[in-house]
This record gives sequence, structure tokens and C-alpha cells, in this order.
Amino acid sequence: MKRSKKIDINQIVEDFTDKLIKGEKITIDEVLKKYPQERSKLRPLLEASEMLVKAGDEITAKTDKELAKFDNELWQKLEKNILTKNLKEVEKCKRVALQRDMVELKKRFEYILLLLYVKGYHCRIGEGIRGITRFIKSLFLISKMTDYAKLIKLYYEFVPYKLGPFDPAIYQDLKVLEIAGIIKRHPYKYKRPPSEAEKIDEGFGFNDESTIFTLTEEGMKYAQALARWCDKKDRKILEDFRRIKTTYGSAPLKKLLKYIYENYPEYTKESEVLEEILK
Amino acid sequence: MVDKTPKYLDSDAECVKRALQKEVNAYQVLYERYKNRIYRYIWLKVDNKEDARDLTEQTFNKAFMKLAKLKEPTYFRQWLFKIANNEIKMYHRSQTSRIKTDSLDDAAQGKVMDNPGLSALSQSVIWTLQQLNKQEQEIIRYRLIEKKEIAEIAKITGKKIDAVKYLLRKARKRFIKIYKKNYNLGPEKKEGDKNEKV
Repeated sequence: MKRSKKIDINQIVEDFTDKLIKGEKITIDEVLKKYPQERSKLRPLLEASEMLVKAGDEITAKTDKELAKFDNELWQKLEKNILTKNLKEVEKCKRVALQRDMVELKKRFEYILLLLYVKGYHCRIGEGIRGITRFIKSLFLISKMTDYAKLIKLYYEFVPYKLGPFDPAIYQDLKVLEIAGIIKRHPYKYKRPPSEAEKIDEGFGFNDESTIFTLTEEGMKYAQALARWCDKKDRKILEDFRRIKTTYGSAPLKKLLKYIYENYPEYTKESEVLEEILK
Repeated sequence: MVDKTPKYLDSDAECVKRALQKEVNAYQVLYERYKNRIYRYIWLKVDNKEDARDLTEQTFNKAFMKLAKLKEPTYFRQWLFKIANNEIKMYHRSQTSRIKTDSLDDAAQGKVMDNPGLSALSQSVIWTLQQLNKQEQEIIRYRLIEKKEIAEIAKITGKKIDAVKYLLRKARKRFIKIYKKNYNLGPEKKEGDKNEKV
């Protein structure tokens, strides 16, 4: 026995809608001609679709255009609020630290302070670190070569990116620490034209100028309180920080990246300078 | 602005996780991902550019400041729209007397909205949409304003594909009925009746 095929009205309407959305030429009459027995059911549904898609296009264009006018301003306000929230937390920690002799290493940004505090290549306490890339890689090596990242709940989480392991949160922490008056950035002018490796030292925002990060006076006191706690907990903590800072915190960038790329290849997937570095 | 979303921030859940670790970039990706949809969503419900702008800012601000309260990061989108909804509700509450007067005016003037820059068709469509219930509005918005595919809507709403199609059909029917009734277009055409009887 032959059965007549059941017409799926919903599907017909959705197919028609899909075509309208894709901008294909189709009219309601063309559809109705194909399914004359369902005209009365189909027509209002198709009309609604046509009307709504048309209005939807117009509304989308209008709202996108309106939003574009204040989009930047809106994001800047939101960013300021986010940074203010982070800043409040950092300032609270600073206030506590400045009142005590010793404070426990609890926040990830405190690793930045400790790294800036310990002696480096020139054997000076509070020796600065030049360039954001060197900073990021040193913090990465702390998480890979020691167990100290596990001392806190949320350490930086590195992902493969353009210059190997990367966590943009380090940028934000440095920015907030600077606003809170804990660290300082000093511009560093090259005495001779910088090499290609030196250029990548500042990430991709290179503008012929490098940056040296150091602690402020308050930052120094905060870091001292952290160092005292580390010293009491395990002398090895400060020694390991010092070792990483001395060996990698001031190493030529190409050499540092080569070391990381060869030892942690899983972080080079997105690298844009891999071949150049491994030459 | 973020020029290109880094791969590790592809999912909302990862963005939320990263944002909670104070990564401003992750907040920015979430903002970029939802700003147009949220603005449009609010705009459709308040009919006022300035208020839509303020409510969009409040929505993102609340979401970002209270992100730690979001228990399931994969539901960021739903959570964000819920916040937007609450903001809209509060807005309407604060405007109650005005809205009531406006509604009466609408009824008297044949539901013509004052929305410069939009065609009469779009204005009447917006008004009609606002007469539908929440579920009908939502399903129409996804499919015909945001232009999402049925499968995607099913995923977002947690409904089966057939259920989405059924709801869409119901919503379209109600939409056109209200539209025709209120814009004096008379009853739906009966042209197919004859054929149906055959």
C-alpha cells in the first residue's frame, strides 16, 4: 500500500528561514506553490519569518553601529573597574606587609617582588630585571624548576604563545604593582642599535626602548618581609630564586629562549620566533 | 582591543577561569564576545539608546565584579543574560509610571514607536515582539534576530531540536496574529482552505 509522505511544516519554514538568513532569493509564493495543500498553515509562518529576518537585519545593523560609537569608552570604564578591584587587593596586602616584619608568601604577585628582591647577576639585593619577556620566562622557570609555585593557590598558568610560555596576567600584575607604588619601570635606552633578540625582549610592543623593573622603597620593605618568611620556612627558597635570577634573569634573551624551547617544547606550539631562536 | 582571541581563550569557561586569576585580557575577550548581543538584547527591551548603553555597562560591570560567584563557568553566557534581564527588570520597575502611561498612549496611537532610524516595519516588529511571552521572545530572538541555527538554539536552551522547532512555530503564529490584529491587516488569508479540503 502506498502511503502519502507527511509534510513537515516546521522544516519547510526553517528551510525558508535559512535561505532568507543566507540572503538567497526566495519568495513566499514560491514555497506556497510547492505545497498548495498547506497554504493556509504556511503563509502566516513564512510571513512572520520574512518580517522578522528583515527587521532583525535592520536592528542588528543599527545596534552594532550605535555600540561602535561608545564601545572603546565602555571597555575602558570596565577595565578601570577591574584594575581598581585588583589594585585594592594589592594595596591591602601592602598595608599589612609594611606593618609586619615577616609575611607569608600567599599571592602570586609576591613572586614578582621576591624575584626582584633577590641578588642577581651583579650580586646586588633588589637588582632590576630588564624586559618583560625575561620576567615572564623567569617566573615560568620558577614554576618548572622548583616546587614553590605549589605553595600558593593560584600561580601563573602558562600557555604556549608567540614567544613560548606566556601568561598575560603577569602584565596586569606588573601594571597594578606599579600603580600601587610597589615596583617602578625605568626606560632603558640602547647605546647601540638593539639586536633582533633584544627587540623581542619587550614582547611585540617594542618601540626602540627597553624597560628595567625595580622595587620602590615600599616594595623593598614588602619584599624583605616576604624574604624573612621564606628564610624561616626554608632557606632553599631564596637560594633557588637567586639561582634562577642569576642564571636566566639577565641572560641574553636568545640564549634564554633557546634553553626554554629546547627543554619545554610543549610551549613552542604557537611560537613565531622558534626557527630563528633554534638556529 | 584584542586583535585576535588567543587559542587558550576560545571557551567561555577558560576565559572565566583566567579572569578570576585577574587576567584583564580574559575579561576583554568575554566583553568582545558578548557586547553586541547584550546591547541588542537590552536595546530591544528598553527602546532607548542611552538607557540601553547604561544598562549594558551595568550588566558587564556586575558580571565582572561578581564573577567569583558564578559556580559553573560554562554557563557564563546564560548568567550574563540573566544579569541583563535583572537590570532590565529593575529599569522597568523604576520607570513604572512612565511605562504605564506609554502603554496607554501606544494603545491609543496604534502602537507606533518613536525609534528614529528604524523603518516602520522594524518598529512594528519590535512592538509586536514585546507582546509575546518570555519564552517566545527568546526563541524568536535567537532564530530570527541573532540568526542562529536550530541545533545551536537547542544547545543553548537545553531543548531538543523538535521542541525548538515546535516553539518557533508557536511563537511565529502568535507573532503574526498579534501583528495583524494590531496593525489593522485583518484576519489571515484563507486562500489555502479550499486546497486543504481536497
